[in-house]
Formats: sequence, C-alpha cells, structure tokens
Amino acid sequence: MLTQNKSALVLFALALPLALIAALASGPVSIDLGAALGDGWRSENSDAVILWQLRLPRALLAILVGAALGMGGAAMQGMLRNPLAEPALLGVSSGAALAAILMLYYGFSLPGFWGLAWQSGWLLPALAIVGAFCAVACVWLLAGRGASASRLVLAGVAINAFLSALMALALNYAPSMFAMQEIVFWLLGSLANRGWDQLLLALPFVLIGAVLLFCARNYLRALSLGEASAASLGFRGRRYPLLVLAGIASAVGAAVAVAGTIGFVGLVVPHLVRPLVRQDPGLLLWASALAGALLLLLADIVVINFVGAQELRIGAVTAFIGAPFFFWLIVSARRGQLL
Amino acid sequence: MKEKKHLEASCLKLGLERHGQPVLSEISCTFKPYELTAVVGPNGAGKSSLLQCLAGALKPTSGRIELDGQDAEQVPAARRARLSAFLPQAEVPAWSLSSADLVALGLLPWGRPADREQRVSAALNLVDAQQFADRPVTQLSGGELRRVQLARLLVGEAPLLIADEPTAALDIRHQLQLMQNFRRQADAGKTVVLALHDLSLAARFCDRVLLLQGGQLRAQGTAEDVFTPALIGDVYGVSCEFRWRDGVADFVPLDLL
Amino acid sequence: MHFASRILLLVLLALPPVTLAQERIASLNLCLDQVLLNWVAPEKIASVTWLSANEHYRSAPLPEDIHLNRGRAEELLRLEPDLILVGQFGAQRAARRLRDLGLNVVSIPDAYSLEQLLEQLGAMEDALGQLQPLQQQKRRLEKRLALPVPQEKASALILSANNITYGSGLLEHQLLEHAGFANLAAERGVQQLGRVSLEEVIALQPDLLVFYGGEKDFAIAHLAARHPVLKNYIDSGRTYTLPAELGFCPALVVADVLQQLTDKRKTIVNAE
Repeated sequence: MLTQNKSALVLFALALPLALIAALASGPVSIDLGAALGDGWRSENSDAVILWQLRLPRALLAILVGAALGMGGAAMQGMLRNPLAEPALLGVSSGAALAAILMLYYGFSLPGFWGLAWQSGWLLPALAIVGAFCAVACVWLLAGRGASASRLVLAGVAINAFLSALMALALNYAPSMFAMQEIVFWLLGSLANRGWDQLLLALPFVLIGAVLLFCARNYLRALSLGEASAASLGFRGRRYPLLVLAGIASAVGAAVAVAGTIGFVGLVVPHLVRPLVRQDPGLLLWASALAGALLLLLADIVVINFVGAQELRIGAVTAFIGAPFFFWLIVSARRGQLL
Repeated sequence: MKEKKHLEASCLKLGLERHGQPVLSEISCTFKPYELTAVVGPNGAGKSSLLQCLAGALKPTSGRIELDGQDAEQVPAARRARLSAFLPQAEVPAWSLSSADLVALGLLPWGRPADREQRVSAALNLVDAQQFADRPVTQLSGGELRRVQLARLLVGEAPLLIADEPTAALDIRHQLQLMQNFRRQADAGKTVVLALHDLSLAARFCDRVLLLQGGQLRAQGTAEDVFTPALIGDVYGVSCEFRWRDGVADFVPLDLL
Repeated sequence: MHFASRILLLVLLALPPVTLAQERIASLNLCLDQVLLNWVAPEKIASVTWLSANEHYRSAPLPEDIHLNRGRAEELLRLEPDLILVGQFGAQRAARRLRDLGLNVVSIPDAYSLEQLLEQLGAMEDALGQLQPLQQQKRRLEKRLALPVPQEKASALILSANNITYGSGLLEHQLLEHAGFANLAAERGVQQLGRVSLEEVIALQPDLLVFYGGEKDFAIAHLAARHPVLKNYIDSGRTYTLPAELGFCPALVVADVLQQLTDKRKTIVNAE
C-alpha cells in the first residue's frame, strides 16, 4: 500500500515534465521545438519567440495556478476539517473577482497615477489579491474571536453570497461594452494570452502563500485531532488560523488575479491525493500542489488543442478531466476502501 | 531544552464564564508529581472546563494556572505543550489516519525525534493496541479508538497528563489496564489528572479526589475523605454505599433521593 | 413680363438655398447621430439617440438641452423636426409611423464596404444638402479611391479584441488592400471575422500589425494586444490603430484612415 502510494506520487512528478513538453509542443502553429530551444531565450526567430515568449510562460502559469489552487484547497480542507471545503468557500475567489470587476469597470475614473498603473496592467491583479485578503478579513471579523470551523464556514457562505450579489450589482451598472464577456472570463477562468508579466506577478504571492502554509503545516496536522487537542499540542490562539488564511488568500488570490476563478481543482485534487499521503494534512499541501499543477496543465493542453469557434473554458476542462477520478474514488469508497 | 521530569500545577481562584454564565468559580487546587488525581462530579459540574483550562485549551476569565509557580499564560504555547498532554472528552479525528500516524501526532511538540517509530509502537503496546497500528482510525470501534487516543496522550514526555473521561467506552479489561497504566505513570513521577464518572475506579486508583458541583469545588482529599454517603448524596442526589475491601472500594448507588 | 421674371429671379436669389431649409433635424440612428453632431451646426439638431450620450461613441460635444430619444415616434412628434434621418435597420416602426403622420423621414443606407460607403455619403448629401464637411469628406474619399493601388504590397494583419481578425468581404479588409497592404487573414482564407492567436501573429510576421481602437481601459479582451511578445512591433512603430468609429460609423473617418494607412505603408516600404 505504502510503496504503491509513493510510486503514484513519483508518477505524478514524472508526468509533470512530460506534460510540460506536450504543452510546449501544442499550439495553432507547428514549430521546430528542438531548434527553438537551441536558439535560446533571446532569439528573434519566430519559432523561438513562440516557444519562449508565448508557450513557456503560459505552461508555467498553468503549473503555478494549478499548484496554488491545489495547495489552497488542501489547506482549506485541513483548517476546516471538512473534505467539502474549497478555497472559494471563505470568499477568497469572489473577493478577488469583485475587486477586479470594480477596477475593470470603474477604475478609469481614478486620478492620473492610478491610470498609469492601470495601463501597465499590474494594478488589476494586485488589487484582486487585496480583494481576496479583504474578503477573508471580513469572514474573520464576522466569525469573531476564536471562531470554530463551522462558524467560519457560515461566515464564509454569508460573505460569499454578499460578494456575489455585489458582483451582480456592479455588472448591472457597468458601462463597458465587454462587461458581460469579461465576467465570463473572471468566473470561468482562462490562461489565454498570458505572458511572463502575469507569471512574475503571481509567482511571489504564491511563494509567500506556500511559505505561510509551510509554517502552518504542523498546525494542520494537529488540527486533525480537533481544536482542543490542537491547542493542547501547542497550537493555541488566532495566530495559526490567521497564518493559514493569509497563506490561502495570498496563493489563491494571486492565482485568481491572473487566471480568473478556475473551479474544481481546489475541491477535488486534495481528495484525490489524500490517500497517497496517508491522509497527512501537512504532506497533502505539497502533494495537492503537484497534482493540481499537473491537472491544470493537462486541462490547458486540451484547451489549446481543442478546435472550435471559441476557446474552451479551462474551468470546464478541469472538471472533465478530474471528475472521472472522483467517480472512481466514490465507487471504491463504496467498496469500503479509502475515504 | 532541558526536559522537565516533574511538574506541579496549581489553580488559583480559577474562574471561567461562558455567554455570561459562570462555568467555574474560584477553584483553587494543586496537582503534584507522583499523584493521580480524579476530578469527579455530576454532569455539567465543570470537570471538562477545568481540565481544558489546565491543558491550555481554554483561557480562564479570572484567576490563573501556575505551572511550577509560573503563570501558565506566560509560558510559550510550544513549551506548554511539552509540559502537559491532554485528551479531550470527545476527540473525533477529521481524517482516517492510520492508528500509528495518529499516535505520532502526540509527538508534535517534540518535533521529529529519531526514535519516533519505537515510541509510537511502545505507546500502542501500553494500551494493547499494537495489532491495529496500520488500521485507519475510522475503521476502529469506539473503545479501540479511545485506546489509540490514549496512546497518543502517553507517547510524549509531558510531566502533566490530563485526560477527560478516558475510561468511557472501554470494556472492563481495558478500563483496568488503563487505570493501571495511569497509576504507573504517576508512580514514575508524573502528575496525572483524570475526569472520571466511575467512583469505584477513582477510589481504587487515585491518590486524591476533587469533587465539583455547579462549577464550584465541593470537596478535595483522599477518596475516603470525599466519598461519604452524605456528601455524594448531597452532590449527586442518590443514596449510596461504599464497601471497602483490601483498599479496593466498591461504590453501590442505591436509590434516587 | 420680362421684367417681372427678372424681379422674381432676384427675389429667389436673395432667399437662402432651398436645400438648407431644414432647420430642425432629428436622428434615429447612432451613426447618423455622429454625422449630425460632427458636421451640422448644433442649433439645427433637434434630437439624437440616447446611445450618443455614451462617451464610448461620442466624438463631438453634445449640445445642451438636446433631446435624447429612445426611438419612439411620439417623442419626435412633439419636437416637430423638419427632417428625420433613420438607418436601414432599427426604429423602423417609429419611422413608418412618423412617415404616415406626414413627417419628412429619410432612410440612409448602412455601409459595409467602400462602394456602399460612397452610396451612403451620396444619400446623406441628398438629404442634408450642400453641407461642406460632408461634401469634402466625399470628395476626399473619391479622390483616394481613384488613385492607383500600389503594386509593391506590404503585409498587414488585424488583431482586434478577443483575438478577432478581419478577413475578406469586410470594409477593414478593403481599406488595407486599397492602401497597398496584403491582408494576411484574407490570404489564409478568413472570410468576414476569424480568430488569430498570438502564435499565428508571430509566425505570420506581418509588416504592419493593426489594432482596433476605442477601449482605452484594461480589459481581458485586449490582453493579446498588451502581450509583451508584441513589444517589438510597438517599439518599431509597425502598428496602426483603427479608430473605433470605423466600427459603427465609417463615413466619419474612412478618408483619414485610408490616408494614414497609405502613409504607413510608405514608411514601411521605404524602411526596407
């Protein structure tokens, strides 16, 4: 059992570079991959430009966003002691999306300095991250001192509903021609036309999130025993849940900022890999990051190779790929295994 | 860091309020090394709250807890976790960890000691649970899970052991085994505090008894001193009788008062 | 008799020209709104559609206390305009009703190609009379179209919002061809609208990359145009941005666009 689990994780780790190569090889234009690689990063050759400036950042962004979502989902499930939790539950995604929407449709009225930052494009994701933090802070304040997991979930559901209503309201008054369509982008997620700038923007926030969650890994382990036991094992006070929430907001907020809200990954990936790490909530963070990255990269390969009038929504594809695993998991749970 | 072998824990005028209602009021008592103390009292007397305050899972609203004369609130959480180990009344594992992995969680305050696996299997041996070391805890019966959780409590080196109704759900063999275990821990110099409902077990194994009623300390002392039919009748509302035979007490409740 | 006719002629000459008799003009069409706002004196405009209040469409100031109509007959009836302009589509029921009530309603055809554009300008001229900016625009366009198309072609590709490109059969394509560009999208068989990925833009290496303007604000739809991979094009000045008006009222800008595209081609060919 144990060796089987380990080999499954090794398989994931090996599949990631293979999927990366597949992602680099797929696209509407066929390029000579070897020559483009040889030409190097600075080459003006169009094959090299396509590889280094278009395909590589997009593939790496898929890996980064997938890892952030997987890790965020694992942390959220661990903190709430609930396998049905996902990062969006505490308003992280809707907070980020609402901030982005407000900026998109009402941001142009801001004075000159902001207008400049607006043009460069980084303000939008940065604000989305702030929005994610604000949403989590609202949940935190609403839940109150020393909130239990169930109170946090309740507060999260309430804040989430409120934010969704605000999003609809903001949309109703949106003056832009693209308003409706932009909402679809934000709510279903997309990696199209993303470049190194978006990757570099999200990377530090995702890394900060990973470090925060790393610091909280033993808290998540202790929390498998419940809040009182965790407190007696030295994880007392609000410091640790705040650490986890900040980690999730940072990693997932950054992912939402550059790729929109891609569902499913944060919910199902931790489920899929939990048996592979012997249910350890600490190790689950990294295993989920790995599996989330792989799932999103595979989904993006499908998106790229899908021929159609419109680009397929990556959120739909993640469900397409991930759901069968989930079915299998449910069926095997019925036979008294796992779960 | 130098590990403490012995620890004296005291409650000084401990008070706790919840939703404006007093749960504990002005409780003062001391738990000493080499002593096995039973906290008894009817449902809602505040046994669990007292134990949770002692373990640092609840913060008292007034008064304080001292560990070897030092205010426990001033002790860093990580250090306090190495001083006391706690088993709550109902500990439901969130994930179906294997029994061995759950026991290993008891070592979290000590980081990752090299002899982790030996310690875990030794702790499982103590509670007669080594045979389900690899079994997921969600597949254990209530009593089996309780034993695994006790192994988690005992696996560390904390000088103060606190357990809330450890004997609940255990069969008579494992109740006996458990109390013998705690007796041995106390004899080895640990300070052991148990909340118990079984007055016979309390009388037989414990050096001292605290009797709580309505958040107040009604009596403390040896079992012979506290377990008088008059006091028990007053606190529990039952008429009863204690039969002492070779140091083994037999508590027989007779009728409602 | 002879004298009398002379007097009559003098009197007639002293009167303002008949064609400028329309003193109050209303419009039921967004493009015609813009034509009025840009080319007709503000005091003569009785009403434009409510869409023209949107900054996105408006290229000329909106006169104060102008009535913004929502395409309903009764609104216009009250204003008693001398002339009501309607487009080929939209507000047709209101137009019919107004016409039945005896108002002067003139339908101006829409324009989706250069040929239709000339017809449209002609129709406007007929309705509005000797309007100097309108006639000037028409003359400029006719002159441009009469010039021979340059033989040595440069290549161009349009990259609009949401990775949309414009192929054969569209006005944008005709403009590129007339200015001496080969539209790479049309060469790849795109008819009407098609999609072009950034990879294809890089692989096709057009001499000129054409954006569609209008939206100054950040939008995900414009992410492709902001991708750093296009930095080379922007830095070397090999880009051109079509004005947003070209999309909803080409009559206003088409002569300028043609001129600018021709100039752009010249600098590109000379640079090579």
